Amino acid sequence: MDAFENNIYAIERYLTGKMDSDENAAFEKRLQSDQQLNDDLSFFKNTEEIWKQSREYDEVNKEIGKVIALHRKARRTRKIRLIAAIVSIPILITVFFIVFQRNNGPDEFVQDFDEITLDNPEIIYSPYKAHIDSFNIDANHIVSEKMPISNIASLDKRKNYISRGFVKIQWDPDRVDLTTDFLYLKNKQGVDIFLVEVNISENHYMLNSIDLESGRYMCGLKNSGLKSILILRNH
Amino acid sequence: MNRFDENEIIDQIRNLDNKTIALFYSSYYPKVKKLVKSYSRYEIQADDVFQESLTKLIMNLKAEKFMKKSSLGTYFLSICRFTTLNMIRTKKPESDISKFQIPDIVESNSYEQIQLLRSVKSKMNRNCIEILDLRFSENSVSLEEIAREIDISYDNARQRFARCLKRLKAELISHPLYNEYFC
Repeated sequence: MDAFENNIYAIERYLTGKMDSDENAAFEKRLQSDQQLNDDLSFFKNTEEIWKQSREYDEVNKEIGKVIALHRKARRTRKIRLIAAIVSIPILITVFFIVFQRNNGPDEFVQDFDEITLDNPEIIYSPYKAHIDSFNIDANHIVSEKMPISNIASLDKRKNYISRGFVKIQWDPDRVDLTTDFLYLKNKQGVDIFLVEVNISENHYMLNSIDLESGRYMCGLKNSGLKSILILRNH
Repeated sequence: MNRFDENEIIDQIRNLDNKTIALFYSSYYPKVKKLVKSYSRYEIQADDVFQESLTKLIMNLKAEKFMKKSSLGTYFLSICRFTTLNMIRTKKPESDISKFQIPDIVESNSYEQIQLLRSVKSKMNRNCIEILDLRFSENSVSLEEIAREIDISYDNARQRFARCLKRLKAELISHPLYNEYFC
């Protein structure tokens, strides 16, 4: 053991009251003349104090670190949510328009549908017996009259579509300059169900054995510009 | 932070109330970041400055060193400035930041000593930290009890304690800022 270690041993015993009275008196007497012992005692006391403060400091610092980390995490989560919300707005708008377009079909179809709705040209089906009206197709897109016909179409209850019905579509030959044209039927999404060349002079076409789900359809003569709406739904 | 009574805030911060600390962080972190940014060339992190400064603030509040000569916010920002400058001096002793630039609103010396001790402590081995921690704990465990606790002889504990203290002293004295902080 060197002098420092010996001093520390003595200081330790002195500070913890382990010295007997003679030893204590001798130590205090030494303190008056031994500068090194004095310095070592100061160092011991100071280090003990700072060490204790350092432990308390570490505890407080650790606790604050935890709180700040939690707070930062919460802020980061909020930030991510905000960014996600901002990013999702254009996506939602895009999705909305895609869905909207899909549900309403082409603009032309929507416009026609609105006009037709006012005049209520709906063909209404009961589950087992369906009346199929035939529409006149005119230049104003408006059904001029309902012409109930006696044909009965059976409706497949499970699939909810007309399995063996037919629809008679009529037009006014005097309004069309062409001798032949293409008759089309589009569904709500604007997809062609069929396209067939017809003689204008025959003034009608029978759609036989077609499978049509309940819904809205547009039919018309492609080159002549005549068109109308079919609305098929359960009664 | 102004919406609340400052005494109430002081009490809550002193008691490490999580919500108040989080609120304090929201209010003052941007200011600390701005302060640290002005010393950006020294590569000091605002997060570190904030955490260390808040620790010092709480320690000062616990020791009732805050005399309310200024608002709590102003006092805290002074501690932040003090902490930033000290961090620069500790990390880069060759920097041109002199001791006289450091505000004296806080009793800085003990924190400088604590930081120096923490820095030296981190370099010591586990056996030394263990025995010094036990001997210098709040209850000042005696070397006899320490010997029993860590299952070594009393003489061994006494020698280990003295040698570890000697090593600590040597490490402290060799630090360039020792004379400034401890003498």
